Amino acid sequence: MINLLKSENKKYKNSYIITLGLLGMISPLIIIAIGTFIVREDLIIQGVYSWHSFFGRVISFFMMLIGPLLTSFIAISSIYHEYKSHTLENILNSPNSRVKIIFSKVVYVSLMVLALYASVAIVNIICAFLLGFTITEAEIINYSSYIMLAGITNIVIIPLAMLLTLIFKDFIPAMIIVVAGTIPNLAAFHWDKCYLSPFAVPEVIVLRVAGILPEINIIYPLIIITSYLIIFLTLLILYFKYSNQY
Amino acid sequence: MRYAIECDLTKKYGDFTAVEKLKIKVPEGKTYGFLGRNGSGKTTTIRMMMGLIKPDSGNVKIFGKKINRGDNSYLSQIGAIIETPGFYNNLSAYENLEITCELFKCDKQSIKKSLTTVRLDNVGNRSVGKFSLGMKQRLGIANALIHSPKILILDEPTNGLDPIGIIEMRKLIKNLSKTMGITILVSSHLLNEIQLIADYVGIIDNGKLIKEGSISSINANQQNYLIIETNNVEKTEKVLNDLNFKFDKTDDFFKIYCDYEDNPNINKKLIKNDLKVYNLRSHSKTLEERFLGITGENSQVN
Repeated sequence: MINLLKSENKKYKNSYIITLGLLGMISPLIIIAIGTFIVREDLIIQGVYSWHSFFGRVISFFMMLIGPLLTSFIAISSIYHEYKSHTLENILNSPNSRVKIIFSKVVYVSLMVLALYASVAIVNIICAFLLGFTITEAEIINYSSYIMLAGITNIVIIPLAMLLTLIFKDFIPAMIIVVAGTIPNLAAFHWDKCYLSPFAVPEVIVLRVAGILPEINIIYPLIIITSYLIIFLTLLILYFKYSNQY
Repeated sequence: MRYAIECDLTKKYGDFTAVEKLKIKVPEGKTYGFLGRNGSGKTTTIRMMMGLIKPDSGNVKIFGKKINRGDNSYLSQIGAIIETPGFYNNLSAYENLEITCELFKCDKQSIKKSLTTVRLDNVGNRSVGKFSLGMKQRLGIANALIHSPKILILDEPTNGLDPIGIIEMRKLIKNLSKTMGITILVSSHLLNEIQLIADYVGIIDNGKLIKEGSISSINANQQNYLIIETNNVEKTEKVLNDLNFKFDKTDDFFKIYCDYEDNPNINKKLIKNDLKVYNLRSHSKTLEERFLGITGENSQVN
């Protein structure tokens, strides 16, 4: 398993996936920060507009669009990159079990996604300093934890996005399904059952934990996300193990 | 004789039978040419051997041991290139081989050795995206050799190569067989290539094995025609007409369409008729002529 993770790590050297992923994750945050600075500079100086308000906008935007879309993009690319370069056969022609091969891919992509979320958490703190917000230690811990929770919960999408790419053996159908799948995310503030969507359930959990959606009972989204993770991972492993791959 | 690969496979896609009860035996330490037209089922067979496709029925034995689709450990004994060799274009040749090394848990010292074998050691740090097709094919062989396999499977290794690239690939395969003593299975639709490389040949058409054996046994006794030069053309013609053979006459010689076994009788008869036989030369069928004959016969049967 370690050898498979090492081989996964080597593949991404000089590739566009990490660069695009990082830019995609960080640039919206920087754009929101610049926008906030231009429009609300006076309110920030007066202390009316706080880091809490800024973070509320960032996390909502992140969970609605950027987080699930970029997580899916990375997961889809990790499989599509192999099809495009005809390297999936090289991996399958090695004496590693198919279960280990696909599981190591899920683990590596999950770690990569968590690293990207960690970079967002760091940039969020830097932005807060640069914008001149009053910052407390508790806020740094809380907001960074929410962003990392967003990363952890979004892992549920990874096996689904990989499965779709394996089924279609292409990038476009999987990406279209992912984009369509994020539509319920936009209804998080208006539809209390939007956690039934695998793309929206991470958003509901993070916003609930962050106190932005206090009326939601967290038990149901937690049950749903756990069930989805088990189902998607099982389907992915079974499909990869038993289907003809070429 | 010990066999490195033995298989008996059937694969259907709906109503279309890609491979039907195909039994091939690849002798250990030899180069086996797997010959067939495009779409005859060669790649499907190789994919089934490598566990990439599940056969509908049958099995594959590697060194006499039946393989189980759930157990990939046998793949450590095989190196393969199936159709296009796949590489990460964003990485150098060396880095690509490092990934293969991780997959096979082998020593990184073998990377340099493999690159030297295929004469790519001087471009090991160059990005694979900048490699020509011929270089990629050679890198594919280096990639397949990295874990010192006992069996090397090359699916159409000369596809898309220019004539010089084909000659280089042929030399490389012959050299691998000679120096490393590994079993090589080369699939191709290029008959002359197989004739030049292989010790054994299996001919497949429409998913069925039509002929299998050593390349010499397939070529032997497959006379296309016999060329005869004598001192008297008219008299020779009369003798051949008496023997009832089909022949073509030119100013200098006769081309007689007969079996190899008939050659001594023809010679005997000519001498009996006081003819001086200056030249008696058997012209064997090329593998191409044999192949076209065999597949043609098979198509007619079907």
